[in-house]
Amino acid sequence: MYKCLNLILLIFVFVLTPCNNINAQTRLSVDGAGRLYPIAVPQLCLEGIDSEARKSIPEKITRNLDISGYFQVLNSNMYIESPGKCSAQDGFAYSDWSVLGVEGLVKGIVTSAGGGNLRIQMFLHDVQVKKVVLGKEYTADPGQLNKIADKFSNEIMKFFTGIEGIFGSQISYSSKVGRFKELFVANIDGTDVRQLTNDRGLAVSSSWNRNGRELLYTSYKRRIPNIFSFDLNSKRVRQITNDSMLQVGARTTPDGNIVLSRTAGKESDIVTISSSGTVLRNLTKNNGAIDVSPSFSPRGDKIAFVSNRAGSPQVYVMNSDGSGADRISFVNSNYCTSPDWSPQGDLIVFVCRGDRGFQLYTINPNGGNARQLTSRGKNEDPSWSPDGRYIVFSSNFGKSSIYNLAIIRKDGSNMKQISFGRSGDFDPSWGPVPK
Amino acid sequence: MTLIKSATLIKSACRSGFLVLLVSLLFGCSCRTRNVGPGDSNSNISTATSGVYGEDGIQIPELSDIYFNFDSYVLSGTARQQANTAAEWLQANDHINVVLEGHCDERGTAEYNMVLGANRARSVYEHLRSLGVDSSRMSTVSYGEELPLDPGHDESAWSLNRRVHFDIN
Repeated sequence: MYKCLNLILLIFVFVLTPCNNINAQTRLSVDGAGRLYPIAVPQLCLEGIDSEARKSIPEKITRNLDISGYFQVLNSNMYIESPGKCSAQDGFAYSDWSVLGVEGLVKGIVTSAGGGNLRIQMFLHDVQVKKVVLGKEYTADPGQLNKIADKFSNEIMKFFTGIEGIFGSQISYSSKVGRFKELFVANIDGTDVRQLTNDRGLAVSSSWNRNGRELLYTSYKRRIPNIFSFDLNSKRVRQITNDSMLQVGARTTPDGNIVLSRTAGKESDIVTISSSGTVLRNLTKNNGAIDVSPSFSPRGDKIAFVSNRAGSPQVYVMNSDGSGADRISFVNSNYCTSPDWSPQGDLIVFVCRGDRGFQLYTINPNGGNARQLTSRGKNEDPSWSPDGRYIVFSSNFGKSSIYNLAIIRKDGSNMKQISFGRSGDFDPSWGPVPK
Repeated sequence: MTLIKSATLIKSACRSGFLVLLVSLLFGCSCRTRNVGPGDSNSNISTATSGVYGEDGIQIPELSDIYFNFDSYVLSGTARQQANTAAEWLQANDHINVVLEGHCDERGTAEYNMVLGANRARSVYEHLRSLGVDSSRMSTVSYGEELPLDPGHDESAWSLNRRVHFDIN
């Protein structure tokens, strides 16, 4: 899978109509749930070639658009046009689609590019104005069909919202294996699940580095919890810290170091260390409280974290030098934890415990505008998507003791379950979109 | 079940060494292994053999688990009495080293509970040290909420899981 990242995908931009004249633009707004845009994604047209791309690309795009929370993809059983129809020869009728109430239409043509490669042209049609409004051509080997579907899905998101989508990114998480927890990664639609560690131990609190090539995590490999990194290409594991103190919650800082919580005696502190494990700075020293779960602002000037310095655990924000810590979680709960600072910097997501378990909240970094996103079941461990539009978290979906992963839009709409394991999936972390 | 238990007992007894076995026989305690986790007897055997996590193994009544309130690492009156008993036993058996394992119930947040468990273990450690147990004989580790003794989801399970466990393997 990861070797795909190394393969160069040739992308030619086909400007079929001048992009300035696009009428379909801006029907969707980036914020707010709004109306779901009705769209159809029929099978691709194959010209002089046989390929599973015909079905697999539209199916993957359908899953992606469904997850996005912006589109309503019409069920393919309803389509009037025959599947895989090539529009050039026998003319395709926009009326076959407008009559179904569809406003957007994704079509594509697959031909041979020679040398076993495929040339795949993808188009987005505006059914109402009867025009192609977006076109891309991809050349790739047949093993990269999902990648092409992800790339065109991201183009569709960019076309409608001005911000590229997150398709092709992955989520790391811990999953129960027997009585232990191992590290896993999966695609954001829950497909392609891979177990990374097999320590027969506890591998928890994973997070991604900036380029998406490494995961940081805490492992009890040698009985004592220390920070390790996992290289996703080479599968090599590197031990970063090596001492008897508890180290947990490691994350890459904007300047390429690592921030984590370190406990010595009954003193736990937010500490920065280098990528080789050397302690750089103790940011919360000597307050005799639990300080844990640091999350840097994207600009690197502030850190959100959890502290019980005033009694119960609450979310605080401090300057990156450790000064000026202020509580920001005031939502009528005596237990608020798990802050994650959005990639855009404008929101912090966290959880608070209520009568019926944890719920997700967002808040401005100054503590204003608190908003509860979930109210059903138990919802924990939130992590932002790289575009700041979604949050992945673990949930029991209000019905069982088994936790699985879910994603939700940042306004609390369109919650979707993305993992369905029976042993329990926890503590997801959303990785960057591959270039 | 009995077969598994006795097999595990023999293995862990061998691993723990003759001394521990002798000590426990002298003190007349009933040596038993505990099956951790539901339906997990196979991994129990290999865990006991590999000794990654010291839940199972020989148990000394004087070193029974010490319990805590929710989100607390303060020793209650009962907890103090238990810790006093443990201190006496450890001083009478000064060749035994102990790992203090801090555990939490599932209701908190995993990362926070990691630290909470560490503080629970440290509270017991400090109390034992104040009673004269040599600190070189004790170490602490926290498993947070990750290895519950009781897999249930009610207060009776939670109260059993908020504990410090003495591991003498």
